[in-house]
Amino acid sequence: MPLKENRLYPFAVLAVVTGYAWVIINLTINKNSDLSAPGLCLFKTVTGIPCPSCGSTRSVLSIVDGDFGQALIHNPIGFILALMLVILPPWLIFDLITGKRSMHNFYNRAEFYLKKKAIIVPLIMIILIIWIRNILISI
Amino acid sequence: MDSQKVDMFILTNGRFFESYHLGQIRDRLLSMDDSKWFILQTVQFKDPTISLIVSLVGGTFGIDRFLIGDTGLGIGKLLTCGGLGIWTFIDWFLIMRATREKNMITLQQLLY
Repeated sequence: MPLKENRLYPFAVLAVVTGYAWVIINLTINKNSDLSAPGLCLFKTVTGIPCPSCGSTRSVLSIVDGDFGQALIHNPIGFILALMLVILPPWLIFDLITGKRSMHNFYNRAEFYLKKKAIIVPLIMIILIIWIRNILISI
Repeated sequence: MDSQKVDMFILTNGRFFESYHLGQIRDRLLSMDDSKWFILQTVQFKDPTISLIVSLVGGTFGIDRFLIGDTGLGIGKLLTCGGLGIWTFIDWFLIMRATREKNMITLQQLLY
Protein backbone atom coordinates (compact mmCIF):
# COMPACT_ATOMS: atom_id res chain seq x y z
CA MET A 1 0.00 0.00 0.00
CA PRO A 2 1.43 3.37 -0.94
CA LEU A 3 3.04 5.41 1.77
CA LYS A 4 1.56 8.87 2.01
CA GLU A 5 3.66 11.59 0.42
CA ASN A 6 3.74 13.76 3.52
CA ARG A 7 5.12 10.82 5.50
CA LEU A 8 7.71 9.50 3.05
CA TYR A 9 9.83 12.66 2.86
CA PRO A 10 10.26 13.35 6.59
CA PHE A 11 10.91 9.65 7.02
CA ALA A 12 13.59 9.61 4.31
CA VAL A 13 15.27 12.69 5.82
CA LEU A 14 15.22 11.08 9.27
CA ALA A 15 16.64 7.83 7.88
CA VAL A 16 19.48 9.61 6.06
CA VAL A 17 20.36 11.80 9.07
CA THR A 18 20.34 8.79 11.42
CA GLY A 19 22.38 6.79 8.93
CA TYR A 20 25.08 9.44 8.63
CA ALA A 21 25.08 10.08 12.37
CA TRP A 22 25.53 6.36 13.00
CA VAL A 23 28.41 6.10 10.53
CA ILE A 24 30.15 9.17 12.00
CA ILE A 25 29.68 7.91 15.57
CA ASN A 26 31.19 4.56 14.61
CA LEU A 27 34.07 6.22 12.75
CA THR A 28 35.04 8.19 15.82
CA ILE A 29 34.87 5.33 18.32
CA ASN A 30 37.02 2.22 18.32
CA LYS A 31 36.39 0.28 15.12
CA ASN A 32 37.82 -3.02 16.25
CA SER A 33 35.57 -3.51 19.23
CA ASP A 34 34.75 -7.01 20.44
CA LEU A 35 32.42 -8.80 18.01
CA SER A 36 30.73 -10.92 20.66
CA ALA A 37 29.81 -7.87 22.75
CA PRO A 38 26.09 -7.10 22.72
CA GLY A 39 25.47 -4.42 20.18
CA LEU A 40 22.45 -2.49 19.07
CA CYS A 41 20.83 -5.49 17.41
CA LEU A 42 17.91 -6.64 19.53
CA PHE A 43 17.82 -10.09 17.99
CA LYS A 44 21.52 -10.70 18.59
CA THR A 45 21.33 -9.39 22.13
CA VAL A 46 18.42 -11.65 23.00
CA THR A 47 19.31 -14.85 21.17
CA GLY A 48 23.05 -14.56 20.60
CA ILE A 49 22.51 -15.41 16.93
CA PRO A 50 23.34 -12.69 14.40
CA CYS A 51 20.50 -11.29 12.30
CA PRO A 52 20.65 -10.94 8.48
CA SER A 53 21.93 -7.39 8.65
CA CYS A 54 24.42 -7.82 11.47
CA GLY A 55 27.81 -6.60 10.28
CA SER A 56 26.44 -4.02 7.89
CA THR A 57 27.76 -1.15 10.02
CA ARG A 58 31.26 -2.65 9.80
CA SER A 59 30.67 -3.20 6.10
CA VAL A 60 29.78 0.47 5.53
CA LEU A 61 32.82 1.55 7.57
CA SER A 62 35.01 -0.68 5.36
CA ILE A 63 33.52 0.94 2.26
CA VAL A 64 34.34 4.36 3.73
CA ASP A 65 37.93 3.13 4.10
CA GLY A 66 37.85 1.89 0.51
CA ASP A 67 38.28 -1.76 1.50
CA PHE A 68 35.52 -3.33 -0.61
CA GLY A 69 36.69 -6.92 -0.13
CA GLN A 70 36.48 -6.62 3.62
CA ALA A 71 33.09 -4.94 3.26
CA LEU A 72 31.82 -7.96 1.32
CA ILE A 73 33.09 -10.28 4.04
CA HIS A 74 31.39 -8.26 6.79
CA ASN A 75 28.01 -8.11 5.07
CA PRO A 76 26.96 -7.56 1.42
CA ILE A 77 23.94 -5.55 2.63
CA GLY A 78 26.39 -2.80 3.56
CA PHE A 79 26.75 -1.99 -0.14
CA ILE A 80 23.01 -1.36 -0.47
CA LEU A 81 23.01 0.84 2.62
CA ALA A 82 26.08 2.78 1.48
CA LEU A 83 24.46 3.29 -1.94
CA MET A 84 21.31 4.58 -0.22
CA LEU A 85 23.33 7.00 1.91
CA VAL A 86 24.98 8.36 -1.25
CA ILE A 87 21.89 8.52 -3.48
CA LEU A 88 19.17 9.70 -1.09
CA PRO A 89 20.46 13.17 -0.05
CA PRO A 90 20.88 14.51 -3.63
CA TRP A 91 17.55 12.93 -4.57
CA LEU A 92 15.80 14.60 -1.62
CA ILE A 93 17.37 17.96 -2.49
CA PHE A 94 16.38 17.51 -6.14
CA ASP A 95 12.76 16.84 -5.18
CA LEU A 96 12.80 19.75 -2.75
CA ILE A 97 14.11 22.23 -5.32
CA THR A 98 12.08 21.14 -8.34
CA GLY A 99 8.93 20.38 -6.35
CA LYS A 100 8.61 17.06 -8.17
CA ARG A 101 7.57 13.92 -6.36
CA SER A 102 9.98 11.58 -8.11
CA MET A 103 11.08 9.74 -4.97
CA HIS A 104 7.50 9.16 -3.92
CA ASN A 105 6.61 7.84 -7.37
CA PHE A 106 9.67 5.61 -7.35
CA TYR A 107 8.80 4.26 -3.92
CA ASN A 108 5.28 3.36 -5.00
CA ARG A 109 6.49 1.70 -8.17
CA ALA A 110 9.18 -0.23 -6.27
CA GLU A 111 6.60 -1.40 -3.76
CA PHE A 112 4.33 -2.52 -6.59
CA TYR A 113 7.09 -4.67 -8.07
CA LEU A 114 8.21 -5.94 -4.68
CA LYS A 115 4.77 -7.48 -4.18
CA LYS A 116 5.27 -9.73 -7.20
CA LYS A 117 6.27 -13.25 -6.28
CA ALA A 118 8.93 -13.46 -8.97
CA ILE A 119 10.82 -10.63 -7.29
CA ILE A 120 10.17 -11.02 -3.59
CA VAL A 121 10.96 -14.76 -3.43
CA PRO A 122 14.53 -14.48 -4.84
CA LEU A 123 15.08 -11.43 -2.64
CA ILE A 124 14.10 -13.35 0.47
CA MET A 125 16.32 -16.23 -0.69
CA ILE A 126 19.29 -13.85 -0.93
CA ILE A 127 18.56 -12.48 2.55
CA LEU A 128 18.32 -16.04 3.90
CA ILE A 129 21.66 -16.98 2.31
CA ILE A 130 23.26 -13.90 3.87
CA TRP A 131 21.71 -14.81 7.19
CA ILE A 132 22.98 -18.41 7.09
CA ARG A 133 26.42 -17.14 6.15
CA ASN A 134 26.30 -14.69 9.06
CA ILE A 135 25.42 -17.46 11.50
CA LEU A 136 28.09 -19.81 10.10
CA ILE A 137 30.91 -17.29 10.39
CA SER A 138 29.24 -15.83 13.54
CA ILE A 139 29.84 -12.27 12.46
CA MET B 1 -28.37 -0.63 3.66
CA ASP B 2 -30.39 -1.93 6.55
CA SER B 3 -29.28 -0.33 9.82
CA GLN B 4 -29.41 -3.74 11.49
CA LYS B 5 -26.88 -5.12 9.03
CA VAL B 6 -24.66 -2.08 9.44
CA ASP B 7 -24.69 -2.39 13.21
CA MET B 8 -23.86 -6.07 12.88
CA PHE B 9 -20.90 -5.20 10.69
CA ILE B 10 -19.70 -2.57 13.18
CA LEU B 11 -20.07 -5.02 16.06
CA THR B 12 -18.11 -7.80 14.41
CA ASN B 13 -15.46 -5.68 12.73
CA GLY B 14 -15.24 -2.62 14.98
CA ARG B 15 -11.96 -3.71 16.55
CA PHE B 16 -10.25 -3.58 13.15
CA PHE B 17 -10.74 0.18 12.87
CA GLU B 18 -9.87 3.34 14.73
CA SER B 19 -12.79 4.45 16.87
CA TYR B 20 -13.04 7.81 15.11
CA HIS B 21 -13.51 6.01 11.79
CA LEU B 22 -16.55 4.08 12.94
CA GLY B 23 -19.01 6.95 12.61
CA GLN B 24 -17.88 7.64 9.09
CA ILE B 25 -18.05 3.93 8.19
CA ARG B 26 -21.58 3.65 9.59
CA ASP B 27 -22.86 6.67 7.67
CA ARG B 28 -21.32 5.40 4.48
CA LEU B 29 -22.68 1.89 4.87
CA LEU B 30 -26.21 3.14 5.61
CA SER B 31 -26.25 5.04 2.34
CA MET B 32 -24.89 2.10 0.39
CA ASP B 33 -26.73 -0.35 -1.80
CA ASP B 34 -27.76 -3.70 -0.29
CA SER B 35 -26.01 -5.62 -3.08
CA LYS B 36 -22.61 -4.77 -1.57
CA TRP B 37 -23.44 -6.58 1.65
CA PHE B 38 -22.06 -9.91 0.46
CA ILE B 39 -18.78 -8.41 -0.78
CA LEU B 40 -18.47 -6.55 2.51
CA GLN B 41 -18.77 -9.81 4.41
CA THR B 42 -15.97 -11.43 2.42
CA VAL B 43 -13.37 -8.71 2.94
CA GLN B 44 -10.49 -9.88 5.13
CA PHE B 45 -9.16 -7.40 7.65
CA LYS B 46 -5.84 -7.60 9.45
CA ASP B 47 -6.05 -8.11 13.19
CA PRO B 48 -4.16 -5.38 15.12
CA THR B 49 -3.38 -7.80 17.96
CA ILE B 50 -1.77 -10.29 15.59
CA SER B 51 0.39 -7.58 14.07
CA LEU B 52 1.46 -6.51 17.58
CA ILE B 53 2.53 -10.07 18.38
CA VAL B 54 4.38 -10.31 15.07
CA SER B 55 5.99 -6.95 15.79
CA LEU B 56 7.20 -8.11 19.19
CA VAL B 57 8.65 -11.33 17.77
CA GLY B 58 9.81 -10.43 14.27
CA GLY B 59 10.01 -6.66 14.44
CA THR B 60 13.78 -6.71 13.96
CA PHE B 61 13.26 -8.28 10.55
CA GLY B 62 10.41 -5.98 9.59
CA ILE B 63 7.96 -8.87 9.32
CA ASP B 64 5.25 -6.77 10.96
CA ARG B 65 5.51 -4.21 8.17
CA PHE B 66 5.43 -6.93 5.52
CA LEU B 67 2.33 -8.34 7.17
CA ILE B 68 0.28 -5.17 6.94
CA GLY B 69 1.37 -4.58 3.34
CA ASP B 70 4.10 -1.97 3.81
CA THR B 71 6.60 -3.94 1.73
CA GLY B 72 8.90 -0.97 1.13
CA LEU B 73 9.16 -0.14 4.82
CA GLY B 74 9.55 -3.83 5.60
CA ILE B 75 12.59 -4.09 3.35
CA GLY B 76 13.98 -0.93 4.92
CA LYS B 77 13.51 -2.34 8.39
CA LEU B 78 15.01 -5.71 7.44
CA LEU B 79 18.15 -4.26 5.87
CA THR B 80 18.89 -1.88 8.74
CA CYS B 81 18.44 -4.48 11.49
CA GLY B 82 15.12 -2.99 12.53
CA GLY B 83 16.27 0.59 12.07
CA LEU B 84 19.18 0.15 14.51
CA GLY B 85 16.70 -1.29 16.98
CA ILE B 86 15.06 2.09 17.48
CA TRP B 87 12.47 1.65 14.74
CA THR B 88 11.59 -1.82 16.09
CA PHE B 89 10.91 -0.28 19.47
CA ILE B 90 8.82 2.58 18.06
CA ASP B 91 6.81 0.17 15.92
CA TRP B 92 5.71 -1.81 18.97
CA PHE B 93 3.60 1.22 19.76
CA LEU B 94 2.68 2.27 16.24
CA ILE B 95 1.87 -1.03 14.56
CA MET B 96 -1.67 -1.49 15.93
CA ARG B 97 -2.71 1.94 14.75
CA ALA B 98 -0.98 1.39 11.42
CA THR B 99 -2.87 -1.89 10.97
CA ARG B 100 -6.20 -0.16 11.65
CA GLU B 101 -5.32 2.57 9.16
CA LYS B 102 -4.54 -0.10 6.54
CA ASN B 103 -7.88 -1.77 7.22
CA MET B 104 -9.57 1.57 6.69
CA ILE B 105 -7.83 1.95 3.33
CA THR B 106 -8.95 -1.56 2.35
CA LEU B 107 -12.53 -0.76 3.29
CA GLN B 108 -12.43 2.60 1.56
CA GLN B 109 -11.52 0.94 -1.72
CA LEU B 110 -14.77 -0.96 -1.43
CA LEU B 111 -16.94 1.89 -0.18
CA TYR B 112 -15.96 4.57 -2.69
